[in-house]
Amino acid sequence: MKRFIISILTVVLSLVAYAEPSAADADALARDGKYAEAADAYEAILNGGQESAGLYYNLGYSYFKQGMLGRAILNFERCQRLNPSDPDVEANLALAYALTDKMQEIEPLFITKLWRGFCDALSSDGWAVVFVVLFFLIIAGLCCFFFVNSVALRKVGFFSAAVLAIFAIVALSISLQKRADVLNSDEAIIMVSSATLATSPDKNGSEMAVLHEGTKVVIIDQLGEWVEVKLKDGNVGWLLLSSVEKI
Amino acid sequence: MALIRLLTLVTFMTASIAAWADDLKVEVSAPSQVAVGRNFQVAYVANGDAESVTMPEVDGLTVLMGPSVSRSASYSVVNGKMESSKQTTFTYVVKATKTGTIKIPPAKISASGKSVTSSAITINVVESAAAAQSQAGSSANAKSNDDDLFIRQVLTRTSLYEGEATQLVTKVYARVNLSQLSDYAPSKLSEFVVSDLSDSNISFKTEYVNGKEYQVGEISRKVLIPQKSGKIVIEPCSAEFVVKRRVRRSGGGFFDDFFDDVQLTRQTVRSPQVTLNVKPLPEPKPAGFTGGVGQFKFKVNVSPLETKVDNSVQVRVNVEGTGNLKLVGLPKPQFHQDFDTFDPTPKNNIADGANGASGSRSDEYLIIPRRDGKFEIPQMQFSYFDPQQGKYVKLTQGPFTIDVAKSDGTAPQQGGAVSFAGSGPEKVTYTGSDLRYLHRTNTLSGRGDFFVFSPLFWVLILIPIVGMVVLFFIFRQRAFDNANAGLVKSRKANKMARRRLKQAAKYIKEDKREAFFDEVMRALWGYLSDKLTLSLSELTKDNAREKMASHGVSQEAADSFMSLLDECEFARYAPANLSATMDDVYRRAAEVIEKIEAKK
Repeated sequence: MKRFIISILTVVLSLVAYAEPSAADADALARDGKYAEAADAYEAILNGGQESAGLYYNLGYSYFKQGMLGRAILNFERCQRLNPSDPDVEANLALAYALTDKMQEIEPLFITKLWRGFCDALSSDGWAVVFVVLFFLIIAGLCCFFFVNSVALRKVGFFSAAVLAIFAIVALSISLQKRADVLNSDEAIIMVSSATLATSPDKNGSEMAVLHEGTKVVIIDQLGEWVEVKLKDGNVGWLLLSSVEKI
Repeated sequence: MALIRLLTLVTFMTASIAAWADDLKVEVSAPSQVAVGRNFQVAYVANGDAESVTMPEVDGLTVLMGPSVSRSASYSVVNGKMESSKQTTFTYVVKATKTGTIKIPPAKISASGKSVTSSAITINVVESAAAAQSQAGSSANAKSNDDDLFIRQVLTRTSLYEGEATQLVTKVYARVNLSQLSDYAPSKLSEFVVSDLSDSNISFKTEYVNGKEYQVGEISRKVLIPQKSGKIVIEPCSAEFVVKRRVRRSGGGFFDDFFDDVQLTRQTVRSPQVTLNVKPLPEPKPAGFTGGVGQFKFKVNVSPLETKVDNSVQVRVNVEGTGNLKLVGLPKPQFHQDFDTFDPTPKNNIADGANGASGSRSDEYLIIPRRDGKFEIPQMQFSYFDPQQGKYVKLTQGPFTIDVAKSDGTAPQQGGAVSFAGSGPEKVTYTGSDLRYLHRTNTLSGRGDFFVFSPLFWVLILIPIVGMVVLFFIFRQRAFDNANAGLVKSRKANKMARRRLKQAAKYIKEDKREAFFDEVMRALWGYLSDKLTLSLSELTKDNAREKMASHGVSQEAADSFMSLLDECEFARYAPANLSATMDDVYRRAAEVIEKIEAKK
């Protein structure tokens, strides 16, 4: 019995000893303007397998203050994935992207923008909560339908359950889509000062353009150490895999 | 009188002007005999002011130059009388192109708006040798010998590669005393790039040709670089010399040896044509070949290799050596797009030499990096053909890596706006706009953890489902129980009726008439309430029949049930003799209940 307690204590103590730097400590470092140390602390927390929108926000902030535009944008983008409705991260991203390559963006359709805005109102978790609430309501409606003798109440119960079911499916799809966006992101940020966009995935491929740090690209394909990317302006070319990092 | 004097004056003046105009005379002077191909002068001399001359075109005569105009005026005073004379001379330099007699028709000379014609002239054109002799008036012993004076064009090399240099030396060989080189028509060299190394003074050396002593002078020396391959013929060149000859006097006197006349004669000589064989450069030409033939060195200098953003870097591409250096293209370095580049400054230091040009050529590029990072100037190739080895030589320089550090201005600033000047494609300066401030790192969750499809999610989904199922069972059980309660009541109904009727039976024995009818009515209502599982309050006389019908009680049974109720109600208050007897009512109540029960 005594031995058991001691072993338990040892495990607990070792866990304490190996605990990652706390998020609060990192926040304090960032507030003191020690951005390099703060960024290291945040990265350590991330390496420990934990994350949050706020953490990504502060990490992006710390990198930006150090002039590391690519890393800043990468982390702001990650923050936005987790918390799409945060106006601060949107403003910071706009500021950071203003320093990257200018491109003629393909203007999305109005309806597409509207839909994206709707989806971005909540994060994946938010939409999942919406789904759960709707599910409760659907079940309540069905209970009305099944267990209430009043015909009027039964009608209300049935139709509201049917309508809510449609909304619930939409909410669940958005939630899953947002989760997929984070888990299998096809978007990437250029992390090197300048990267050569080539027409083919080899060193002898002719040069199409030179892209600079912080530019967002969409990865279409990967071949060895090369990735085929699509730019905002619709152009497609090949970049070295090492020059980009997936969001 | 005055009028007469005026008239006289006018008349005199008019006459004198007319006389002057009439006096304009034009004389033509030209040699009577000329040699074919020899230049000579045709002069029109007008004794007065003349403005222009038009010489008719003559077949067999080519105007080389002219008319050149010279004017002269002279004044003389003789015995206090002044005379003036003017002369205008128009001179053409012409050349006869064929032998025979050429007649030059009169030419028109215009002077003071009038035109005067000259006299015609006849020129006898003869073969050159004869002309030279006859014109010089030389005797037979002055006749030149071909061996005494000739010119030759000598190529230092007659077989060479395209682009390789050779020299064409024109030499005169003379055993006669040359006074001067009066005319030299060099060969046309349109297939070559020519650079002239000729000396303006001809210096003579002594050489022996076929055992004879010659004075040999170099008329011209040219470096030729053939621009096409194949057999190229260099056409003859010709030169005209003035030759000094001593002519013995015909008298043959004692002093003749000392007082020989020196005669100057012109003699034209032509060189034989020469050919050279130009070999084409071997194929295939290597990459980076820019036409260089000779021996070259290739050097590229990049300095500095480490710099900062916005500081300039100098790239010098240099080719040095001997060969067709002027025709060599310098390789162009490729610069990364993040460099601002300027057109190169060429620097040439080339001297013409025997083997073509030698020296160096360089292009100096100034580039300015606009971003930090490591940038590579790819390897540069320069290939040339070495005619001595007969093969191409490939030289490479680089690649060069330029390490560009961030400039001092881009160091991060704390608190203030971060300036990325110089590091972005556009210089963006945000004054007053900055990042939104730090957030609080709220509760952490595992990376890649999502609520959707998480265990908690499934639990939350299951809760209402389970709830509904539970509710379903609860409701079903209650409905079942309710149904059972009704059944029991119904079963009890008969028993109840009989028990109630038993009470009524007691009242019969006690002959309590009022209580009896009350008891029967209560028993009947109670029975119906239990039977239909309806509370007594829900039952009225009005709806009882209806309820019974919906409960499957037959119309007949319901009627007798209702009439019995009516009878009891009536009998309670009616006198005994008028109403039905208690026994009869008791029997009928039992019958009705049994009848309803029987329907079940």
